[in-house]
Amino acid sequence: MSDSEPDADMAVLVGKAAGGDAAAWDEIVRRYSGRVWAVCRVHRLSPADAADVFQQTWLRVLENLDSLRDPAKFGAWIGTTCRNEALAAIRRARRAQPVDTAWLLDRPGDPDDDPELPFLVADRDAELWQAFRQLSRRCRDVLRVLVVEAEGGRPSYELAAGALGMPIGSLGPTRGRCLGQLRRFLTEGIQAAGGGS
Amino acid sequence: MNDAIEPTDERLLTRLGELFGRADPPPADAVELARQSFVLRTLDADLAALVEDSEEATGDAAVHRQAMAVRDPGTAPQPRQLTFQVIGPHGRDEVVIAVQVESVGPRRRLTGHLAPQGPARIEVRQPAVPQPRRVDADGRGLFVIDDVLPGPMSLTCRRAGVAPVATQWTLV
Repeated sequence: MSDSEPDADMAVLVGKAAGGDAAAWDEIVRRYSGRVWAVCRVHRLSPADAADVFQQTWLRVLENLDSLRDPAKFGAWIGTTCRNEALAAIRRARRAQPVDTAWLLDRPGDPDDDPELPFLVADRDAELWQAFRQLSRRCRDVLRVLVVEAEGGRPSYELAAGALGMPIGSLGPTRGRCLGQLRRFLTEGIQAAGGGS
Repeated sequence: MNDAIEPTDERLLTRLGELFGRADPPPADAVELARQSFVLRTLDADLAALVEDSEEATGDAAVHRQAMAVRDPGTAPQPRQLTFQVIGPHGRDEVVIAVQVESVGPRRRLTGHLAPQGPARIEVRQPAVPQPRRVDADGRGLFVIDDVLPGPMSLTCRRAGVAPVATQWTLV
């Protein structure tokens, strides 16, 4: 998988795209779309806002290609940009409501407004999904943004830190703690299911 | 089942990644639109950065707008004001494109003016619209663009004798 290739590869791709190579742009979009989508998801955007913020993030990347050749910078920039666009979309949606929502403005999203089942989870994933849903919102967000990056390569902590507004040094410990909780919920779920059968 | 009980962190992360990859991938049409947006690059234009957005305003202006909305919740929200600016190197003339955004049904109406004033050709680019639409700004630099789709948009301002200017992509 090309995701496991070193960062130098990403610098080459961005350089080629900046020079007008559409195939290089396609490859960048292919590699990062899952990550950008995950950032939209952790901000609990409406479907229309999620699609807009996704598009807007890619257009901002396109606009700034020349200055994004440093791979570490690329991840941080795309994560921060998507987060800022998502937060702005949330603020606009709230201001459009003719009620006093000033007290909401500083909140990136309601903690408990996750849709019950935003998508169809296959049977084989059901146990893991049930355990995941028991995690705190912070844990769900950190893992959601980090897992897409784990496919065969190192996770982009730069992107996740930008996307979640967290110090980069806190991501590793948080990830470890959240995975520990997930493992515990998973074990409890399996034991409960085993005990009931 | 043993590997589900005591997996390593990496294995658990991989399983989660596969779960989200199967259950909640980015929509295919959105990814395709992102790929196709490559043709929307404006190579020949100077970038006009978004320097002011009334809906991102902080401090007194935001408090005032909020107070207005609370006092009279029946009225429509005030139109959004966007200001784009080219900040040129060493004293080069600045270009300002100021745009008011109003909702008209499901579409947006953009009412704008240019500084320095003067006639110009304005192009509207949107990822979901294959061909940029064009309107003329009048002698005072005023222009109106109807039927803009909600979503990302960028304006390119072309006038005789100077480099074109493209606004930063902005969600309207």
